[in-house]
Amino acid sequence: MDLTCKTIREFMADRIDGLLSDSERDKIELHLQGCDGCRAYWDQLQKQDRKLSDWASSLEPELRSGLEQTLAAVRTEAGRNPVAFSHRRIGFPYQQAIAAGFLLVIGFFAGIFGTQWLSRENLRTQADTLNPNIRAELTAEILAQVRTEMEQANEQTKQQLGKEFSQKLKETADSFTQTLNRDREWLSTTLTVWEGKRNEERASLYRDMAKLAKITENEFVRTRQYINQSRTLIENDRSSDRISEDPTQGSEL
Amino acid sequence: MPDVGSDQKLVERCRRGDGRAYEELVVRHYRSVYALCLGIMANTEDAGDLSQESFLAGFQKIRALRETDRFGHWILQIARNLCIDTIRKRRALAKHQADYRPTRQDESPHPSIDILWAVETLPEDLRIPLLMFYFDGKDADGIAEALHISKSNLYQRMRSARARLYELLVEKS
Ligand SMILES: [Zn+2]
Repeated sequence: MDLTCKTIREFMADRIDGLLSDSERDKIELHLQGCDGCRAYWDQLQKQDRKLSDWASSLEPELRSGLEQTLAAVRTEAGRNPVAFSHRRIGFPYQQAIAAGFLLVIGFFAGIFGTQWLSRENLRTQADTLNPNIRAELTAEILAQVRTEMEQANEQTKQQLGKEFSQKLKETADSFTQTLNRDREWLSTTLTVWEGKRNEERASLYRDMAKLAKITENEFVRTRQYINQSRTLIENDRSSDRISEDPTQGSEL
Repeated sequence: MPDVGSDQKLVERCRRGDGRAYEELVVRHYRSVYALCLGIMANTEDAGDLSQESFLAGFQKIRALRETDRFGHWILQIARNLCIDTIRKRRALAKHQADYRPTRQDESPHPSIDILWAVETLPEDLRIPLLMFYFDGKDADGIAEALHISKSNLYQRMRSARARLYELLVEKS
């Protein structure tokens, strides 16, 4: 194949992709009239193009049903957790503490760190390979996730409060302290492991993880405070099963 | 459906708790997310699953999106990361195998089966733009932007993809 044929064949791909001007198209036509090899090539490219188009069309029903399923899944998600993306002010710390407590009861480990975006495994692999944009979003994401979890638990808890709950809160506040210590341990181990990485990677990973550690710790400390506050409040309010709730006393997490 | 405004407006409505706005974003961007997932995973089943997962993750994280006018770009990034994660997990599971290749699951007999095989065989950097071209409306500007590459780079990849397909389908047979 001489150079002209090679160039012409590149033009042909562009032609299929709809990128050629009229004059360029004419050049191809002219060449095709005198070159059997390129004509065969052109036939093949067109055949390929048709097959790809046919394939794409054959998947249209699948695409449509995939879209429908995704919409349904989003609706379910929105129905189950209508506050997931609103800036709803979270009630009085008390309420939030109950949410946090409940979260602990239903399984703190499976809760925050069991979620898809915050599993340790994910943090490790993602931080390893993420592009810088996402890496920068990681910390914001963690805060958002923790809040979402709390708000979700908050909703669920409202219907499920009972007297035994204050006992559970006591137990979980204790286990939470242990969790905090264990997470510190994990983060420092992770940092140590990453220190063995290449220099240029190391610096930014180190900063990210330190930031992450700090944020996680702050969240934990704050949650623990809320749990303790709520424990006191529940004990004071023991005679009543009903937890009153004043939405006007909102405060942001 | 009446015009509901720009992506940016929809994202802002989402943040105010309007679930319908997110649905509209899904409708607008499903195709390109699907095409990207198909390009990376090279099978339709994974493409469907991971597209759905991507939009659910986007829904949960919408507040983390800072540049509200860049939803399309952001959701593709989420999809890409989910795909890469999935492949990595599978590789880890099958690490005793020297060479991991995604498997095509229960693909029914199809007249273009040879082209499917050839597309699967293409390297990912050629396959992704090619599939986005066929599944997402053949818009070169949009594809180049979504993939963070220049238009000339995109054209070069399309040329190579077509040349490789030719080799795979014609010269080897
Ligand atoms: Zn020629």
